[in-house]
Amino acid sequence: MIPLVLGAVADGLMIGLAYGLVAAGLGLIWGVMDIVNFAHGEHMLIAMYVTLLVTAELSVSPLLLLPVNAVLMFVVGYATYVFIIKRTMDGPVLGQVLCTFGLLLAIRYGIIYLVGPSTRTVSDFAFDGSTTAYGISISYPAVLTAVVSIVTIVLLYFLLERTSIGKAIRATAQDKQAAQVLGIKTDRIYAVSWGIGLAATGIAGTMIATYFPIQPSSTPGVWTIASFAAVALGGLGSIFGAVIGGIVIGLVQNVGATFLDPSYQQLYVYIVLIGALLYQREDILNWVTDR
Amino acid sequence: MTEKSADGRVASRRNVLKITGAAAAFSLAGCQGGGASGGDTLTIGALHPLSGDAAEMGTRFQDVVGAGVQAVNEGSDLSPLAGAEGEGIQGQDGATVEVLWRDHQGDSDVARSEAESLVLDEGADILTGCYYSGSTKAVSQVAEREGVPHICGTAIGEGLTERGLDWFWQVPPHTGVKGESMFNFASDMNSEYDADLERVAIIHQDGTFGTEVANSMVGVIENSDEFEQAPETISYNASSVTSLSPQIQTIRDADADIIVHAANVRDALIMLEDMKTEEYYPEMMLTPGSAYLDPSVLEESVSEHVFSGSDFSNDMYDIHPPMGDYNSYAEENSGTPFDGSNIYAWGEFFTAIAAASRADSLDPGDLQSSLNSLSLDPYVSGLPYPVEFNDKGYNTEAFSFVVQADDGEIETVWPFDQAQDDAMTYPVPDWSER
Repeated sequence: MIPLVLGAVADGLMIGLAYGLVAAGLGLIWGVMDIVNFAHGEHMLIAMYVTLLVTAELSVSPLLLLPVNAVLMFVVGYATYVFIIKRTMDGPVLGQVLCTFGLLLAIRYGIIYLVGPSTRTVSDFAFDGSTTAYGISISYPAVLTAVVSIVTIVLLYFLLERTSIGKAIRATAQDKQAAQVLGIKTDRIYAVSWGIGLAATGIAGTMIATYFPIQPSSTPGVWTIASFAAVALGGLGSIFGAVIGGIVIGLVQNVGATFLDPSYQQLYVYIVLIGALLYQREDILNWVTDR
Repeated sequence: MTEKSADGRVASRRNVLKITGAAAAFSLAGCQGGGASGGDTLTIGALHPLSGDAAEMGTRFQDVVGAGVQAVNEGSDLSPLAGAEGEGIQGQDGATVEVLWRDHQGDSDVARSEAESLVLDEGADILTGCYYSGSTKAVSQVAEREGVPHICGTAIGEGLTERGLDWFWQVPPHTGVKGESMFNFASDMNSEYDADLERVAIIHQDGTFGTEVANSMVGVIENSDEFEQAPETISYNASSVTSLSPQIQTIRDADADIIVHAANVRDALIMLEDMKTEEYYPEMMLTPGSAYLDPSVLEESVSEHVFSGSDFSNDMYDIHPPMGDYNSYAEENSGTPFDGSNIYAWGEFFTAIAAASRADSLDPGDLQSSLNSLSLDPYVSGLPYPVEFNDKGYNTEAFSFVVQADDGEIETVWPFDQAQDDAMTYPVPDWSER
């Protein structure tokens, strides 16, 4: 029984940290700009395919691609804001929603056009495989992903809490006009926020590609849905809330499926999510009203 | 009355009328050409997933069917394949065939509207498709309403021909037949190899396909004295699943000998990877759908030794030489060889050609009569078994053999008399021994 509990918790934690890292990027953009990036999973897909193709063609370890994908996705995020999102900022919210939805389609079908729609996996990862300890089976790529998630989240924390750019991001998120009065170039902060958010997503995509099958149509949805749930659960607009939300979702999924009927794995998550939203209703309403 | 356009050109009433008249003439000409099935062209409306999860499968359908169209229109030496007697469909005075492809995206509503467009706007004589049972049901309702034959060669839901339809015919073995084949194989393994297989775990994605497969398998097991189900049927949502470890744990705890998994491609890979992580493998992994036969799954080492119910194997050409000829032709002319899924589309297309060739005309009623009385020997429809429909439209001659994945290919292992001597690996080695 104890190995069963430990196994479910370990699996839940590991997948939850992966959810958390994916959700952190979404949460940052959502929190700073009040924009929901519906193309979040598709942005992650870009990093996944870079990982897939470069490792296949050049036999490079996915770990070496972490900084490459982080920088690449920062640039993608920055450019996305400057060339696309910025132009919708003064318009209705619906325009921004449709814009990110358009991005979703453009990236998804662009990838299908370039590399085809087949399901693919990263092969020959040096850390591939698994081990069993104390009756718990652990996948090395999952552990590595969890470690990378923790490191990235800690770095994000220091970036936001201890650097001037982080303070500017937080100030802009709290009150854009006040930040402008203080001399913060909020437009640039928005662009940087998109960059940082997608850089985190790029890191997540690189690691997740090492142990999940990648398919342009179905893969993004899985992670976008989990991210939305994590952000909603952890508190709208909070990076660390999103991480906690991700972990809770991973735990509920795995522990629920292990000890209850596994057929209703997703149901357990959404029961917890709905319960949390009902419990937090006042806070959320205040949060919305404050904006 | 004139209006000046932005670039300075003048649009007079006369010009407007000219353009309108020309457009009307064009559209009328289009209606006439597309709506008539005048005997010189058989128009097949093919509805398959060309985007989404099964997009690549749909693309492979297009490839081999494209080769099939070429074989019919240009003539081939692929005897006894339908339409191979000369250029065009000989039974219709050499009529050519065209296939209009539509992407239903795995969405039943899209499938329905595309089917309506094919019939009403394009004048399709026959509809084919749709791989997914849900989309197939939606399209067959349109076919029934409009009185157009719908030949289904790619969906294997057991209930598809149980709806009292007059315009629907299902060519491949449905899930019940597949289940019987698979459990006959398991039974033969018990008697011939002392395999001691008894407890069966059923796990499936919770869409229409997975649920129908699970129900069929439960039915087969309930009618069997030899097998019992353990644990209860397990389902999961294929579009959101990221781990199947808890489900695998449940199956391990139930001490199942056989796992029957109805999956899509992505979750098939997740299942195998998680089984490897959990260092668990049952005595037999037995799968009814085509996901485990998809090239992207077969190229992964984790798929090694999985058993599947199939109409195709890479070594079938020794037992069924015409299938080898067909495969060579398809690969040469489309670049895509047969596999565990596109062979269904090939059979679907040539069943339509055979029916059209034997019909008095391409009028819907004549095509319907032809399909109802169709009796094709093996290979005529492009498949290794005969085609003969019962009064519900189900091909009573459809048959599924069992194959096993071996080094990226699939080999026939059952019926034993159709298998190569060294084809089967059993018992399946543990993960650590692979």
